[in-house]
Amino acid sequence: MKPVPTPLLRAQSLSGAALLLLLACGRQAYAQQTPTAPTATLTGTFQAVSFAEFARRVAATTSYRLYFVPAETDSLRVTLAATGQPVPEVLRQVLGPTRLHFSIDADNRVYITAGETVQTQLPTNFFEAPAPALAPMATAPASPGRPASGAALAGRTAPGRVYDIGLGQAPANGKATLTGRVRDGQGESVVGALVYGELPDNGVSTDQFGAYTLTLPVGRQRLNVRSLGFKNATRQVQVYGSGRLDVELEVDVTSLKEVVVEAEKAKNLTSLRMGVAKLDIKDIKQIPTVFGETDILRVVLLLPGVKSIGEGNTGFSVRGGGADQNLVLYNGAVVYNPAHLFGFFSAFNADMLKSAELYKSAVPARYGGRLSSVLDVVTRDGNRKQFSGAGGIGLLTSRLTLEGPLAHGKGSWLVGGRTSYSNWLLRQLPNRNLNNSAAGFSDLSGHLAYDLNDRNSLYATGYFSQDRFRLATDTVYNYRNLAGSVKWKHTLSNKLYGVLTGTYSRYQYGLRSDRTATTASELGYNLNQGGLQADFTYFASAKHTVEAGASTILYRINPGQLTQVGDQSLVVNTTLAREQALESAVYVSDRFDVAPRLALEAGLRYSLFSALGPRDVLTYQPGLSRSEQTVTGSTRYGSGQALATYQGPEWRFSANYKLTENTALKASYNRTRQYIHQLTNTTVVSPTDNWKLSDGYILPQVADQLALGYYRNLRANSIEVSVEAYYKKLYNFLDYKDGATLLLNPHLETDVVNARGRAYGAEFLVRKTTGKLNGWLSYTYARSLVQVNTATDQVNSGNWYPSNYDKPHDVTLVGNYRFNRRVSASVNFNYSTGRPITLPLSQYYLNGVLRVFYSERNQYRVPDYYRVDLAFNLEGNHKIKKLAHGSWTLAIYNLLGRRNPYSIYFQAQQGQLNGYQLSIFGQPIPTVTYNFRF
Amino acid sequence: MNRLLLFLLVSAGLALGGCIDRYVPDVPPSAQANLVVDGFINPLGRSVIKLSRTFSVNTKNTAPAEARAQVAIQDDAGRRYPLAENPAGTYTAGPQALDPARQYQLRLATAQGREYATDLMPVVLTPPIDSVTWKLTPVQGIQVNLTTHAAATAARYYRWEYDETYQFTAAYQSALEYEASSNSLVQRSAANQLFTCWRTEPSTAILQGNTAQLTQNTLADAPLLTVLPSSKLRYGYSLLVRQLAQTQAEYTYWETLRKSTENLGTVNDPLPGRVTGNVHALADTTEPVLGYVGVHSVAEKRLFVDGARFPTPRPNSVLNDPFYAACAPPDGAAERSPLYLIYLQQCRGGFLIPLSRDPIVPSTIYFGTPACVDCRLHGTSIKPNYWP
Repeated sequence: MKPVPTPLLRAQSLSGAALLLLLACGRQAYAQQTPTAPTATLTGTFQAVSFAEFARRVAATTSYRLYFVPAETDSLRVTLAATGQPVPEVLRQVLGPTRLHFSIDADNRVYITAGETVQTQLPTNFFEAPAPALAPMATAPASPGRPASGAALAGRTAPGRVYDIGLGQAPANGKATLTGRVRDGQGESVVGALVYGELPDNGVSTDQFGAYTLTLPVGRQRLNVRSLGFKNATRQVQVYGSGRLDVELEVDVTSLKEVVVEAEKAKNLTSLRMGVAKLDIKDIKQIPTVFGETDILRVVLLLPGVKSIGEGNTGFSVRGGGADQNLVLYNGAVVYNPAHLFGFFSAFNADMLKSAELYKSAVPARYGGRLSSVLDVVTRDGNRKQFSGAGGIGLLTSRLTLEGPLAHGKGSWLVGGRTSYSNWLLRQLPNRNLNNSAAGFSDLSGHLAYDLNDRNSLYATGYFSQDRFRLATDTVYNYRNLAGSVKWKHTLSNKLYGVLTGTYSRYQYGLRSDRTATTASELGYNLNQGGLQADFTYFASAKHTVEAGASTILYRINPGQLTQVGDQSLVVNTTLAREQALESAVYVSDRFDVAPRLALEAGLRYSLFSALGPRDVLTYQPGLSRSEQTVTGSTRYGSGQALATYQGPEWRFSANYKLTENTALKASYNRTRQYIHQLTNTTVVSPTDNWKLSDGYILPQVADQLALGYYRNLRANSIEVSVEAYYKKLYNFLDYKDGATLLLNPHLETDVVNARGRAYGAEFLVRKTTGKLNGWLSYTYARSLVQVNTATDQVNSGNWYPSNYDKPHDVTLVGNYRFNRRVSASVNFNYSTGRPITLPLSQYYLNGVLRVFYSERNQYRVPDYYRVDLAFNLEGNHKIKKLAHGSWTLAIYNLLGRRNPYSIYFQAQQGQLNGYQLSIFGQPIPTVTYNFRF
Repeated sequence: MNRLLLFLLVSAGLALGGCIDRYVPDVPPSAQANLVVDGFINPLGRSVIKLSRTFSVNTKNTAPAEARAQVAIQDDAGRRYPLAENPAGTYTAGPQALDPARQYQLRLATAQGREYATDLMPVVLTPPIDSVTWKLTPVQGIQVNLTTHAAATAARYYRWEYDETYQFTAAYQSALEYEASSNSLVQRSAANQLFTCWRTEPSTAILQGNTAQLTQNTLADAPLLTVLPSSKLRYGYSLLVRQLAQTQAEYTYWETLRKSTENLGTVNDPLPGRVTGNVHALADTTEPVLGYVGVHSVAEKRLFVDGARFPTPRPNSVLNDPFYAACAPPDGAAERSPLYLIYLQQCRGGFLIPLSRDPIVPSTIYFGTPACVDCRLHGTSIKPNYWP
């Protein structure tokens, strides 16, 4: 191998721009040479000539070419008389008194540098076995490593090295495939980093394991790696054939924001996905929240197209869909109730998380099972280098996260826990009702990552959360989430890898009441699902990336169990028949880069659902509304016998056309199917909401969504502007008959009706990602309408009416301002139209008591909602050596103290009807949180 | 929930809280005045049906009565039992015994000629109440419980109404009486006493229970109501409980009505719904008609609690009673003084009531206002016949 000479300079002394100047200058010098016979000695007289002139004359009369940075030599004047002296000797004379050094390579190229001397030869052991550690940069810039077809370790300390890829291979068509992984300094894989050659257009993003596969032309080129929160990395590669290159990125602590821009910039225009929002935990932590608790779900609520269901609640509606139509994944496992304490806290410990990605329209084919969106929450990998930790102390909760390496850096572990001390607080209160109350929660999460070898990695995640509260009454509520996943990633070849995932999720709640001895009872519910999923990614060629896979989920639901408590209880022990079902799917999708400006992705997911026995299914008189009065009999289905089977294709199409360098047009069409339904006749998610599987009467929900988007980046990509519009149709989602009984109902089909929905809207977003001032401003116009008009049941006489999530206008402003590196301020502004409400229209006397007659369902609206929050983040000092790095967050939630109605209700009091609005956070709420990491 | 949160936050040193404000909905005056049918068909007694119209929530009007309608009970064989109107809007059928094997419906036609009818419904016979008992609560109020049972095949859904009756006294006792014929004060007769009265209040909340989840159709000591310590529990307390057995459909109707008008105000409210009953307009099935006319008999049971059985010290009637808490001390006037003559004139007009002579200075006579003296303003001075 012939080493390619490259001026290798200390990064600190030479910026990229200067490097370019140097090269340009060098070429110029070369162009000016005269074709006289080159010699090795210099003859001539120089009287105070500039160094550039000196260099020109050296080049003209000798075989030496001088390469230098004009800025470093412009103060130098050369005065000497030389007669046949060797050039190196002359240079020693000229440069001797200065701080400049020179070195000469075999082709008589002279590199003049300030500070360091350029090494023109590789160390003698360069081609030997890899050295155990990287050599110190200052003295041996060209790090030892393994070149050629083996893996080349490209640590962050070797920016100027040239990596030979696929040496000895003969690429078929002048193209080669480069694969590898991107990790951070602690050995954690970096997800979503952009890896590209000379142009971002042909770049790829690293997957959830930090792995990438990129097709490059053969030859010498630069490979760029960019990701949020990391310094940009560049690798010089000499591509001979397909090979592997791992890249380690250096965490960028100080110029975080600048890096975010670059990554987002590239993604914004080149990504095929539309309606995707990726939130990095570092961004999330800047946004003020109630109680000072970093809350990933509350930040999701600030995104365009996502609407809150109620304040103090993390249930959300995406583009007019229901709260149950969002698939919330925690490292691949479904979490059914991602909230604590009735939804005042998110169930995820922010210190454990790496990012959250929300898919609103172009849902990748590998996801399925919910109609409206996918929220993919990903935990960090632990620190592979050393033991460390982080935590926070707040007014109501505290949290702690610990992490460290496993098996000498081949893996890592990460464990985080969080608990509230509200129980303790309640017990301190003088009020007897309240100190009899209890409200507490905790969660625990763990994650292991382990690389078996270059081709095989294992990941395991576990999650547990529990809530328990008793509110001065005799009823105790509790609920728990359990989720776990195991992933095995296997790289079959440079172009093909697969991931096998096993998941398990459980959600359960209980309600215990013992006010009267004869009716003392305990109600239990639980849902279990186990799943197996295989996903393959195949980089077929530079233009095609194919993903395919299959999954299957077995659901088992115990929809209700009532057991007596105590000897005197007359309650009949009731257990509703267990529901079970199997949901399977296969999918394939292809990303096709048709032309540099046009990319298409077509996916098909085919899902099959079978509700399985044993089960007794009631039959009803045809043509009549199903009720207990219209039951005709029942049919028995044996164990494992399918009592209803549904199947259908789910199309996923998306296209991206780049109009110009900084504008893009995207379109997508999606069909999604959902076989599990949440039953709630309240507007907000409560722990007693049941999930119900589709059966012979409850049909699967289906949604079609068509979306169009226009994206434009302004001011050197520092400002992103986008408009997305969508139209959505929903079929067979559940609405309720008035006064429906949902708990312990063995025949729910008598209380629910199948509804149709349609939703449409436009989302406008302006986002500034760089500079001291950054953030986003969005405006959303969205409608969400429902119709219940079956042959047997109607709501509002079968007309279209606004759904519970219909809030046409929404304005959100999220702004951060960094005063300096330690102090920053954030502000949130949120406005939305009030949600629909069913209002009392008139009153009447019945049995001597004044009663209320309500309007049609959702005919009116509550007052508009707006809120302003403010937060200050104070970072500790930036000393590297200290016990722990701490930061303070001071936040004020609802700065203006607006009393936004959470709930509006009417009560008949002493024969008179009074309307009330309940505001949960009706005054400014100041909080202080101390966060630390070590 | 909200209160809990409020306390949580306050105790955490935060100056904040949730709050509840009045809310006046911006609803245009509803043009529609829907028909309200209030009552039930009693197969073993008098059936009373009241017809009225709904009225705006923003006004304090009384319900406009629907007069001059033709109302009748009709069985599944087509036999009609007409109801007579008296007073306007109230329609009554005399005591009757309907055949429990048949099904019945209410049919009516308004003065405008619009026709309405309920569905045909089976007769539900209410089992008797086994007992109504009471016990003291820790805060010195009382808890009333009810026990009933019926055959396992009988209706398992119950609704209860009650009338509370309690004895109370006015703030000041009047021993004298103004006699208009002589323009003088005479000794008050026991028959005209104004001091001790009995007040009866009907229940306003919908009280229901069922045995659908129980192995037997039995309710044992089911909690009916709790009375807080107040002037109700000073001299004596009585409760007349009416039990109504009903079909599941009627039970569901009252439950829905209760949820949408009474059981609100918590964080996780059920959605209020448009509650319409089993009465339909024959011409237009979409016209909302309010009320549920069931077919069921009534069982009654009275509870009496002697005031002597309440623990002492008993709640002070005057201070705990909203009727008399604001009463000022009575004014006195010397007999034949000018002030006395003015007071006498005011007694003639009914603005004052003579109380008694001062025990030390008998020439001074005290007077009080009817609001503080005449208990009949809040009840009746005639002792109910069931009162011992």
